[in-house]
Amino acid sequence: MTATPSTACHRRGRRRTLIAGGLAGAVALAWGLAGDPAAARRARSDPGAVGLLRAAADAARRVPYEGRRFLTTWSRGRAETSRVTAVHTPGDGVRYTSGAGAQGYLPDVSAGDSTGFTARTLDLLTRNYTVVRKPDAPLLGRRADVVEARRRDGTIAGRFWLDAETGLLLHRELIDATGRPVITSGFTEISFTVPAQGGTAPRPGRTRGAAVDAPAVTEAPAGGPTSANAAPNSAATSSILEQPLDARALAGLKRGGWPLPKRLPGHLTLYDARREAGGAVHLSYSDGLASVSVFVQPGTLDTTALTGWKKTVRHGRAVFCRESLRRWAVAASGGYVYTVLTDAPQSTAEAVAFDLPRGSDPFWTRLARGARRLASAADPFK
Amino acid sequence: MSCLGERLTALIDDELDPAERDRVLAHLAGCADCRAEADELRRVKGRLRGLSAVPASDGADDLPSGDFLNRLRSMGADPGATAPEPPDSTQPMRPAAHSRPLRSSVRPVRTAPAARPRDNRPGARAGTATRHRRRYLVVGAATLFIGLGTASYVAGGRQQAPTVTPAFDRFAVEHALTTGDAPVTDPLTDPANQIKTAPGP
Repeated sequence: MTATPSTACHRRGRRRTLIAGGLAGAVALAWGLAGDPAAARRARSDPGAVGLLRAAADAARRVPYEGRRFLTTWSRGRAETSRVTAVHTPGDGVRYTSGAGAQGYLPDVSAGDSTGFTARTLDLLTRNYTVVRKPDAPLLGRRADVVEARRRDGTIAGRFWLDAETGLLLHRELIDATGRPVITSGFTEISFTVPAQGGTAPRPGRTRGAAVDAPAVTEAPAGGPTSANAAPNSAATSSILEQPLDARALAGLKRGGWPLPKRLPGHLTLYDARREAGGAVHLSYSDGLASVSVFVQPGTLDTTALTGWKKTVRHGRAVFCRESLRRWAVAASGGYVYTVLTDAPQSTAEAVAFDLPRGSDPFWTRLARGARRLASAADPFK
Repeated sequence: MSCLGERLTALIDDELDPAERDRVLAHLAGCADCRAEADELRRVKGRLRGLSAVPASDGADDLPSGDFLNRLRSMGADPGATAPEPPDSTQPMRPAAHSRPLRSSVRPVRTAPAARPRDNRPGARAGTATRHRRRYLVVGAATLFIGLGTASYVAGGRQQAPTVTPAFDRFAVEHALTTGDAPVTDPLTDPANQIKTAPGP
């Protein structure tokens, strides 16, 4: 009789083991099948197509050219375009001149960025999209390799035209889920000639990344309806110093209460972080195609500079939006001001601004501040 | 309750005079209840004696020890008087006189019995009072610490952040630099660059 409960116990124990084992197996199977779909998609991407995109970053540094570039963004059937002249001298960099005479300079050290493709963004591209090659097509009178990035459902999300001879990215097109283009950029004309040396001298005083010199635009914001947005600390006159932030520096800032999320809605992943000396932290997010910049700076928002912006309030958070060539969304919460800037549709900028975390002080910082305030309030010699 | 009352206890303690003792014994011979109670009392007394460290040899063991009596007397002594300290006491005791006024000033006396040992030993009482005093100090310090901490946390809630205006033109350039577009200004801040085209698809 005494053996019966023990046997029942054993049987129950075995059943539990079986159930646990079965569950573990099911979870492992589910994870294997669906847990890492990115790996499966990565496997489906054409390595040759990814190689072409990688080579484009290298070509941007290597190939001398002179041409006219454009950037067009589409919003609700309306397009806005910016045109610049670009001259690249290998070993120097790319000099941009806008129609109004504004100048920009991107040195060769970081010219890999001029395609928008870095090792990190290419990884995100292959993680979130399937990259395939399409038949060659003529563009600007040249033969171009065509590469497509497709969503999981097979729709086209991006299309790239790369010069077959030099590998340079000639044209880029991002397409929304309904099949309409949202961003197109590239050359309208290009000539592969070595530009004459000693052109416009690079303006000193602008550092980007590690010891990279790039002057900001040299033209002050013109008047007109948007002149109210000109910041007092305009880039036209002041030099900018953005230093890259590594993971350790980011972790330090986070411990200090800075809201610096690693991910944003829409598979946007942080791939680069920089900071002006003591100023705003510039976070760059990408899903491989669309890029979103988020500038985080401590303080409260001066809304008087946002006249003419569309204000939307959701869940107690006010977001100021404005559409132009690029899409802007400004929000403030928890002692931090966020400026979201993207070429992607306005809905992306708004979603990001609403989704950003609220900044919070670390416990000891808040406690110390409170103690100082109490001591100052109780100080009889004040 | 037996018919004999306290006389039964006196019989067990051998405190009756012979005449009274005979009467009680006569009663016990005829009363089963009283006999049973007398047996029970004897058994209890025997057990108590068995608990004593010194084996009982005669009736002297039935009396409480001098040490115990001294301690009992000290309970009823004047608060100002110093209670005699037993030389062979295993538990260090402080005079109750030192602790009593302190305790009464800190907390009402009515709470003391709850924390006091049940056997009412004076040494334990004095020790408890000391422990109480320490506990009050600890609780007071903790309350002060937590109170100040909470007040500081609440007072430090709002950060005195400066009012800022985002540097839109600079941000536009920085964004363009990381995304690979031409690092020139956005039409938002530089309308001269803006070229409106026909409505697209």
